[in-house]
Amino acid sequence: MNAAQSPDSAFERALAPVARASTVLAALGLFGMVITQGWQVLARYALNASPSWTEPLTLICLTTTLAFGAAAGVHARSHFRFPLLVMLLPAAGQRAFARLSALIVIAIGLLLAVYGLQLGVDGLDVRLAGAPLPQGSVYFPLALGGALMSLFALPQLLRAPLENE
Amino acid sequence: MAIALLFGVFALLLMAGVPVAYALAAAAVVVVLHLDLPLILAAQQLAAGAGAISLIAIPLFIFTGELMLRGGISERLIGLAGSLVGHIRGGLGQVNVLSNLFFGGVSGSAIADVSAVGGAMIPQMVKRGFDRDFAVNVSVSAALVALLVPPSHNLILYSAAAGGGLSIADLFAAGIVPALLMTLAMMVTGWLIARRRGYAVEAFPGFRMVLVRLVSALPGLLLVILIFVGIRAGIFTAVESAAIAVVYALIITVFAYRALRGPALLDACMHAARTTGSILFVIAAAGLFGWLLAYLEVPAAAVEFLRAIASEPLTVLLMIVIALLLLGTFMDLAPLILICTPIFLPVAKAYGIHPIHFGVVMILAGGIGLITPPVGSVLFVGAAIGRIEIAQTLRTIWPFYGASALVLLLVALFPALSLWLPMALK
Repeated sequence: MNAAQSPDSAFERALAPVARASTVLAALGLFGMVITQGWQVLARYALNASPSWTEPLTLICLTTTLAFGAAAGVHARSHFRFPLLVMLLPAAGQRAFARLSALIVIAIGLLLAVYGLQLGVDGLDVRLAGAPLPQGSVYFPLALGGALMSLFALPQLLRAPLENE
Repeated sequence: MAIALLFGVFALLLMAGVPVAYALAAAAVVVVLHLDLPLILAAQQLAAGAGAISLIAIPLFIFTGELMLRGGISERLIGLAGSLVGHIRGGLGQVNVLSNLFFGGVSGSAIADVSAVGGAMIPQMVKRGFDRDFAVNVSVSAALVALLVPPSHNLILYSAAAGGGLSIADLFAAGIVPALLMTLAMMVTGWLIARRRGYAVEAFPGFRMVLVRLVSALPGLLLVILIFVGIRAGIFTAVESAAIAVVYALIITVFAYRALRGPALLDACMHAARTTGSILFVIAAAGLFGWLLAYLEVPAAAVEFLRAIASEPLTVLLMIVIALLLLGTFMDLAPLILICTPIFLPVAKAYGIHPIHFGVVMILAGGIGLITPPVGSVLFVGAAIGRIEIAQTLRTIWPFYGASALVLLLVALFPALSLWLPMALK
């Protein structure tokens, strides 16, 4: 069952609009990649010019899709994992491993949030090659996505869902 | 010690049910701390892991697959396959295999294939008197075909994991003959089982019907041709072709087929965004993991180790294939490619094995793991659709395992099977 639909998780339900916004941002990143790469082809063949800004902008869109899509995946509990061994455990064991899993996600999310922000701030004065944007702009979606991953994993730490929930 | 820690923590977290991407990142962070390296390096390498420009093609091809899957293309491709091979013994089983060949090119994913084709075919097969185990076994085994048909994102992933130096056009071309061979092997196996079990044969619908269904399915088939020819002829890069594929898929499914409108289109976009986010995060975390493998000189150690026990390239290749088959039983294909390529590719190169040939062998070997327990994600999806126990499919899947292993062996032993077409198209 999708965590967002779980009847015993008010916290997760409260986070559902945030998760939806995160998914929308990831989808916008996808469309951004399509538009910038499509423009690159159009400019090359129709306008006889290859813009230099398309590649760095596509990379920012990629990071946006990665960070916000992965964060939304934490809320939906749709990340690839192998729960077969855990499924064999009794409920208490399953809950313990669910808490461990949520803790790991929170830790990695915080690492991305803290150091992604630091890398972003450090790169504010450096210009991204090929585009009039700061290099730090690549890291900000990662920092925000990391913070969201931790936020979405928090109710899973508290509730410790069983494998069949 | 650091190498043991890296693999040990990863394996433990994986078994504990931690998502793959987070298990990879956490194992790497533990080793970064153990080595007293600054933690900011981990975040930097994770960002760099997803920062390769060639990787942009992956989310866009997944997005294309999602649009095609929900936009009516799969039904039309199944219809075409049905009119072409539905009259051969094993009827719908043969249709299932051929649909995977057609649809594989569009979805580029074995799981998407078994969901799309198997989801439509398994209930139909059961309804027409085929045993559930046969329906599931044909569907999951045929999904292997999709791994090698353009625009398989596994080949792009391999190219990126190999350092980006391998031509995606060459890799796409290299996968075609092995994919056709796998299709043939699955159809023959299905035919033999159908004959032994006495399944009914259906009537040929006539050439007029074949033509009608071909016209109906043509936009889907043209997409594969557009991508393949576009990259091969140097008109687009792989990334550009993926963006063009999304635009083309939107035009076909929204305007031509009118199957994706309003909420359905929004739903397809949202689902694609979540799926690509998850896959990209695995790639990013594997980038961090791979950076540590290089830092700890694991590839060089692997070359040294294998040099000490084997001298013939074929022996080494077979040893790697066995290792990949074993790893594939508990690891999904994307992380398998991302983790194993930096380790095994230098070994293959050191023994003079062509990297394009090696890539095709690696994806086939890892792909067989997708239908092998305990993880076998494609097998699980197929069994869930067919509503039977895994144990029940395992009792009768052996002929399909045998056929796929035979194809793997042929592709490994005869490099020309994967290298001939890329050379011929140059």
